[in-house]
Amino acid sequence: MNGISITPDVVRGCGEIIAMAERYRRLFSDYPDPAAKRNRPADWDPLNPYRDSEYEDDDRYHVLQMAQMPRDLALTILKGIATPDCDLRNFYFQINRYDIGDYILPHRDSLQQGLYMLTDSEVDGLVVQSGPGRMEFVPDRAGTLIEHDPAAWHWVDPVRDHVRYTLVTIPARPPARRG
Amino acid sequence: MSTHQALLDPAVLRALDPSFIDLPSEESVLEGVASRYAVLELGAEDPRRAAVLDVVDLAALPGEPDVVVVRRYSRGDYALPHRFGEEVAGAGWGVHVALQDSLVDGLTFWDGQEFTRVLDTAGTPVRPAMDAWCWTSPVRADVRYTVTIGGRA
Repeated sequence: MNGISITPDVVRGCGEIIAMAERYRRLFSDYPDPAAKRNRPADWDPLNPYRDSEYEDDDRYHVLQMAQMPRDLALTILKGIATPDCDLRNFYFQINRYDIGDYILPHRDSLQQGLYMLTDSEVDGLVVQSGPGRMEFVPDRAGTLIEHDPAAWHWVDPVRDHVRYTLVTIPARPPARRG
Repeated sequence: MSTHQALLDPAVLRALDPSFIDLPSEESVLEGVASRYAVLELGAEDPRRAAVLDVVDLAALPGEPDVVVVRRYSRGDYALPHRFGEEVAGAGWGVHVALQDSLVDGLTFWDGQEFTRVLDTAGTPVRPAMDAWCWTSPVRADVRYTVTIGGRA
């Protein structure tokens, strides 16, 4: 398993991205979906670390994917993490919002992702497996990029401090244009 | 949840340190990682038990304490997700009590509706259901002590 890479000051204009995301708050999708919550079976277990990483109705947070994102917000995000020499044709990104109490349960991913922190906190952050048999807490630092092995366990504890924002991208960094 | 004002003398906790046993590495629900902390069970005849229980609001407990297990976390230690009742195997009820205050360390557990994170408040019992999932993420303080108390149903 690869270790984690923590790179500070990667995102430019975190405050501008957050201010714009707040204006588009109504566009975020909620997890869990209310219908999924209503339809939980009687024997539903609130924690299944081996769930499909695309299934997020056991988690509690809010997502705005790039396909649903207003153009000005998308451009502000790209201005913050990409440069003109990037090839963005196959670059995916979404912005995640965690209100107080929101969380993502322990899980592993299937694809390499980039986790960009947009807010600061001493209390809230990412818990991530940083090597074989070792877990680590990474506090929120606005602008920081975390890259970890997709097979690493990771989660976000219920948020305590204030509204938390992150970006998730696939791949982790905008690819450079070839040639 | 109730609040109890008594504070445990740190010297009492430090005196317990040589008696802790590192948690044997055992497979957790998260494949490939194991919890990391040390434990000390204080039996009914152990003279140190009264000092630890003295900081707990015993009136808030559902019954007489039977099992008393102190946990010691060094900086970076953690308890991976497990069923709360496993901390006091065989008990009918259980409570978790932090032995110091913290603004960053605490316990995350399923409260029946949501997962919730309770930051450490010394002496205040937290009572997850015995079958509730719970965990402690990597500890930020130099050292963190908690006690889990179990009793007969």
